[in-house]
This record gives sequence, structure tokens and C-alpha cells, in this order.
Amino acid sequence: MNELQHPEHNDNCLDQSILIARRDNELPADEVAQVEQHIATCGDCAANDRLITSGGSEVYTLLSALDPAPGEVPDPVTALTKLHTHLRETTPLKKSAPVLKALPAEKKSSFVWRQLRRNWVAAAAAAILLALVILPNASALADQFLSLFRVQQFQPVNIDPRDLSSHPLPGIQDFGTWQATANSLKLQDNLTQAQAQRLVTFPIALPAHLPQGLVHHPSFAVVKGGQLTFTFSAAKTHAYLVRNGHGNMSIPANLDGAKYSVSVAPGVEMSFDSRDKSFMVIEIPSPTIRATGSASLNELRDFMLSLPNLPSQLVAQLRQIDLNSGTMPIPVPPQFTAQHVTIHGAPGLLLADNTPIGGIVVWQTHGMIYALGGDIGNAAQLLTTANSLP
Amino acid sequence: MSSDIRNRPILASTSEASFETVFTRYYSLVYQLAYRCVGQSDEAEDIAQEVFLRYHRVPPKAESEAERRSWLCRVATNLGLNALRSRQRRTKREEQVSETVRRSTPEAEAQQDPEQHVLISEQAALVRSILAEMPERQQAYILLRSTGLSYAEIAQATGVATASVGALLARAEREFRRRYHERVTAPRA
Repeated sequence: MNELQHPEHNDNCLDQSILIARRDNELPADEVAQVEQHIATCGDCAANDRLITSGGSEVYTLLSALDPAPGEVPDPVTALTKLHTHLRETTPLKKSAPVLKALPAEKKSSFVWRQLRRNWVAAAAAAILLALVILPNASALADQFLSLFRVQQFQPVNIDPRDLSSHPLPGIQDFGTWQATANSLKLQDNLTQAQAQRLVTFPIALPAHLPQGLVHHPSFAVVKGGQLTFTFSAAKTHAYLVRNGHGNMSIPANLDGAKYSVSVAPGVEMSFDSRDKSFMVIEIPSPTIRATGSASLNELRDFMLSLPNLPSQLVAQLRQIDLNSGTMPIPVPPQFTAQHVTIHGAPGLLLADNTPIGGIVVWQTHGMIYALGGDIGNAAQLLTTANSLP
Repeated sequence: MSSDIRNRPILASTSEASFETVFTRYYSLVYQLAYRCVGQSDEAEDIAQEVFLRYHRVPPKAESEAERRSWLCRVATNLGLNALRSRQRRTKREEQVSETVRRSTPEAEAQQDPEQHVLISEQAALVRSILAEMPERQQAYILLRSTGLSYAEIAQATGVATASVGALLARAEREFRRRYHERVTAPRA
């Protein structure tokens, strides 16, 4: 029998739809035990089950080859701005309102929170790297050809969307290419706590206290770890400059091929969503960035800072951050307030809506980054929940 | 027009979630679905934008997050697969024209670079072309499942009974694997 042929079926054998539902965790809990008992005693079904599992694994692994590189998924906020512009240009309105101004107060916090919900690790990796290369004060790092940066604390950086709507920040993919190890940063969702625990290297901590109105049994997802390497490309950079009307800008020859790798260990995402509210807890080991290659970080940064149209206020704020202390900049939109807080003695950052409803708390301790929040609860409740993590 | 779209605020809210909330929550998922189909970032961005424009123009009557997600995935999959199939047809036509030219100019065939098929053998192109050749419903089943939709959501998006999804998926996976193995084991021309 070749591997694409299915074992013979007899009257007692389980239907394929049952085996595949079991594989996909779609079988009712009370049926799983019966099915597993049958498989244990039926050679045909056991063979069929193995075939369905390995076949599915092959199909979905092949399909994952179609995914965009982690750094190439457009930022939802930028995409929303584009859509907003498109609607304005194609729909004559009596009056238009800024994106966030039009949101009801209780939805403003979720606007930012939702940005974290998908591909947050990939986005964070790209953001860290972009911040790193345009930060001017990391002299100790920049003078070395081999450098290591580990996220240890956070610093708010105020972002004014009006600055970015006319001149969006360049994406890291405009200057080179990302390469990722197989299955890097893939999200594996619909897991039980036990399944999630097996996939991460740290003990998963659940909050003892939650804001009211949330489910108390979260769904678990694990973002697989991996290594992403960014390689600077003079050709891509030149193409970007040409597209933006600065084709005559010169690119230092030794930048071509400079490499930066971001290492991320598997992290867990717990969703305590109720019907109309969203609340999430994220736990992930601090990522590290290693820089190697033919050009120093100083040379790369000098070039990046010379790019036209970087918002001057943003650059000025970034200049204040000392990367030697492992500080990671966190962008803060104008309708949010940022506040330094202490969680279990570790420094953290609380981003809260001005009303204040909801928000996000993020902190780092013992090599782990924790973040929690959503569109429910006020700042005090968020801090209570954060401090209730063991 | 009676329901003049121009009179609707850009940021109209649905009963349960504002447009911005839906957009920021699902944009990456919609983009990735589109990208899986077309493999080009510009085209995937256009498709994702079209999905949300449709959502904005006529928001679906979704009573839960799962229904909303299913609706977005269904539209993204339909648009993405349409684009993929249309490209596949275009490519076939171009190949037929090329074949005609080659036949009429045998010297061109002699000069043909034997390595030109290397690009086609790249995994993503191969997988995408197999996907494009599969029956339409089967394309949708495995594509939607590959993005993590539950059986109930797949049923919602494709209009079949939830109880049928397992069997349909099994058939689609088997068909995909059959075509894949046929292609990778077929002797090259």
C-alpha cells in the first residue's frame, strides 16, 4: 500500500471524519476517550489515524510555504490610514473625523490593544530592530561589529499620527530582507494549558485576579520561537529612495549585506475574551538582537538618520533613550497616557486611555516580558491583575 | 440613491464592534489569507483593502466574533482564489502562446535555458499552482483551515454543515497530497 492509499475500511472502523475531527481537537470531549480506545485496539483505524495526522501535517506545512515573511505583513495602523485616505478621496464627506476621535471612549484603548493581537512578536522584532538602527546613542553597541541587545525595560515614545500620515515611517523591509528559521513565530492556537505548557520553556503564570466580566478559563495560544535575520540590501534601499524621490542619495557600499539577527523564544498568549470584551495576557522570554556584518551599527544608524522626512520630535525622543541599559522604546499615541509603574518590584509601563478605560501594562522581570490588558477594566484594575500574577 | 454611502460616516460603527476595532483585529489575518493565494505583497494589500471596503460598505449581520471572522475570511478567500485562478489562466495562455512561438521557431527551443524551470520548482510556486488547480470548494476548505479557523467557522464561511467539515477537509487534504506527489514525482519535460 502506498502512503496515499487509505487502509481498508470495515464496518467497525471509525469514519475518517471522526479521526480528522479528533486530530483537529474538534471532537466533543466525551467522544475522544471512546475514539482513542477504539484506535488502541483496531489496527486499521490506528493506521488510518497515523495517515490522517501525517498527511495533514504535510499539507499544512506545505501551505505554510505560502506565508509572507514575518516582517512583511503591513502594519494594520498604516493600512488603516491608507484605507481612511482612500475613503476620503473616493467618498465626498461633509465632515471627516480623525480615526481615533470618532471612536467611543471605551473603544479607544482597544484600538491600540487590538494592534497587538496578531503577529505581535514579529511586529515587535521589526520595531526593535528599526528602533535600534535609528537610535543614535548606543555608542557602545555601535562601535562593535558583534553586539548583543536584550530587552530589559521600556520607555514611552510619543507618536503623533499627524506626523506619520503625511510621511509614514519607512518599514524595515524597505531596506533589506528578512529570513526566518522554519516555522518562526507561527501561532499555534486553540491549545489547552497543558499543551501550551509543553511548548514553552517557562512556567505559565495565570493571574489570580481578573477585571469583572471576563471568562475565567482562558484559551491558550503559543507563538513559536525562532530566529529572524535581517540583511541590509543596497538595491532595495535604492529602490525605496527612488520611489520616494530621493534616488540621488548615496548608500555607503559597506552597508550592503550587513546582518542583524533577532532571537525569540516561544511565548504564550492567553485570551480571557467574553462575548463583547477582550482581555489578553502575554508571557514571553526577552528577545535578543545580535548585530554582525561588514558595517558597524554607527554607520548604519548614520545612514538611517540621514533619511528624509523622519519626524524630528520622534528622533529627538529616541535620542534620549540609552540602549546600553536594554531599554525598548514603546510608541504611545496622543490619546494615551504613559506612566512608569512597578510590578512585583520590576519596572514597567502602564498605557492608559485618557478617560480612563482599559489599557495595557508591560513589564520585564527575570528575563521574561509580561504584557496584559484589553478593552475592559481601569488602570487600577489592570495593576491589580498584573500584581496577581505569581 | 436611497442608502447613500456618502452620508455614512467613514468610521461608522456596527452594533457590536467599531470598524477600526474589526480592522485592527483582523487585518493581518485577512492580509495573510490573501498573500497565501497571490504571493505578492502589493496584490495582497489590494485584496485586503477590498475586503474591508466591502465590510465598510455593507457590514455583515454578524452576531459574534466568530461570524465576523468567518465573513472576512470567506471574502478574503474568494477574492484571493479568484485572483489566483485568473492569474493561472493568464499564465496558461501565455505558455500556450510561447509554445506556439517555440514550435514555429525551433532554434529558439534549442537555445532555451534548461534551468528556466528552477523558478517554477520553488516550493511556494508549486504549492500555489497545485492549490489553483484544485476544485474550488476544496481550495477554500484547506486554506481556511490552514489559517486556524474552527470547523464551525469553516462551515459558516462555506455554507456547509459543521458536521460535514471533517469529511470535506479529509477529502481536500487527500486531493492536495495526491496532486502534490504527482507533481513532485512526475518526470520533467
